[in-house]
Amino acid sequence: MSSNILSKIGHRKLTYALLSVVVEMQDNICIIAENKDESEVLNTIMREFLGFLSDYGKRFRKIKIPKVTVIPLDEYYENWEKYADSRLVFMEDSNFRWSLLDDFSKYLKGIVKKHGDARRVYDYIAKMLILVDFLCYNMDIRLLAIEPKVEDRKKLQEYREKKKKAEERILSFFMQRLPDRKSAQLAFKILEYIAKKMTYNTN
Amino acid sequence: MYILMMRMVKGERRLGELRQRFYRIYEASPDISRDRLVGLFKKATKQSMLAETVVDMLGKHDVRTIARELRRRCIPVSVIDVFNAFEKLRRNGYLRVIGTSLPEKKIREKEVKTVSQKIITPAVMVSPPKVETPPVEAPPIDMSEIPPPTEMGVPLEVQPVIPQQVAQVEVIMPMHLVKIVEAIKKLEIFERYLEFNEHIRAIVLASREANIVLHSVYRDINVTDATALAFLATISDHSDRVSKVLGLGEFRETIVEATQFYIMISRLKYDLVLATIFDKSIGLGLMIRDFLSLKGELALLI
Repeated sequence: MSSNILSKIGHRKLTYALLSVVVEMQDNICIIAENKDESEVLNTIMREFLGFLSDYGKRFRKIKIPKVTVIPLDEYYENWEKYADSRLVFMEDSNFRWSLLDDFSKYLKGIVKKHGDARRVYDYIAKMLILVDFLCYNMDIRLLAIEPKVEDRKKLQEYREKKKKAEERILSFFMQRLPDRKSAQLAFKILEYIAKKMTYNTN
Repeated sequence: MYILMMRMVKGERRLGELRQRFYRIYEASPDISRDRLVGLFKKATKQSMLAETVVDMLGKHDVRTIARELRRRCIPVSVIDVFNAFEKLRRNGYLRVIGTSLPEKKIREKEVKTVSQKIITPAVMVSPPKVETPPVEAPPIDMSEIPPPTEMGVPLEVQPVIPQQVAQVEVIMPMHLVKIVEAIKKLEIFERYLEFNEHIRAIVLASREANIVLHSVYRDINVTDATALAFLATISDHSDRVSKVLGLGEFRETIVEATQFYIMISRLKYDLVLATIFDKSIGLGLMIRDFLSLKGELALLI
């Protein structure tokens, strides 16, 4: 991922777009860039990224790889009704207060600094996603999303302790397969977010 | 040519944006707790009553639906109030837009009577009814008192009177007004207010200078464009005079209270006059809030 691209679009915006594609679990995502230049750059990146993910397509059993459309703001407002079915990702919302986005942004920054190659960045994201998908498929991830309403304090305490232990086990699963603790924590956060999305989308 | 095209594109975009904004679905940051969010809404809107309802509806419903629900719970807010509060929090990163809902079907045609003919034609003069009275005999004229006719030196030429065609009154709306009215109609602003507030009986936008009603909607009220225009002209004129005589500056707004209705009138840019007729049963707070919101929305287009 060249610094030229990053200078055109900005690191935060790029991260927001990539993260939204990966975690929102929607069939169609419409990314709305602030201008035409930004839209062209994002379009190129998204085509590359989705092409890369499609190579892993068969390995994703739970995670949805969406169809992505990138358009500038002007074009969107002229035909906004067309995109009513899509999940909208406005680039102007990249300042959204979201710790997952902050962590993902730091993570990508580190990889770009280390390797500087877009394919390596995509490769890291894809590997992480495969692990997340594996857990989504093999365990009941609703437990990560729902806090049961238990009136008995002792039972609630017990439940929380069990949940904490399960979370530690998931974290150690990620740590064994990912290079460092930070990556593992990020993967866990992504899993948690996806669990919420899956739980509330199906309910 | 290029500049003109760019302007048109920008105009289309702006209209699209204005139309889209009330259909937006906002989502709160997942890192912010419900209590904190309620607190933020209380701070942003200065209304504690709406905060909890709004927070519970975030991420599921669009701005219009949220505003409608708040009004159902007797919280006097307009759609634009809700939108403004959301945008304030969005700018600070607490909310983001995740989608839009599709526009609902237009307000039931039966309820809204739009008057297509806006030009006011002069009223036909009705001749007074003939009064049948018995013929009165004229008194006899004394012919001796009438002087004999004198001869004129130059014979008078009879000038033929050319019948002139009666000019038809055709009021042509200036282009900028046409654009404004088109935008208002496209955005269905009047219809939306009529739908949201059951106390509204009529909304009229008129140009005082040209004597035309530019756009109007009526519901269950015996008012036509002609009567509305006459009424508006009178009130505006009186208000103008009062303002001048008392040295109060320019007339801006008037509230008229009648036995059955309230009428709010406001003068906008380009000497346009906006009037809304409300049922007497409406709360004054809601009436003023809705009227000012409507005025605010029009001001964005004018």
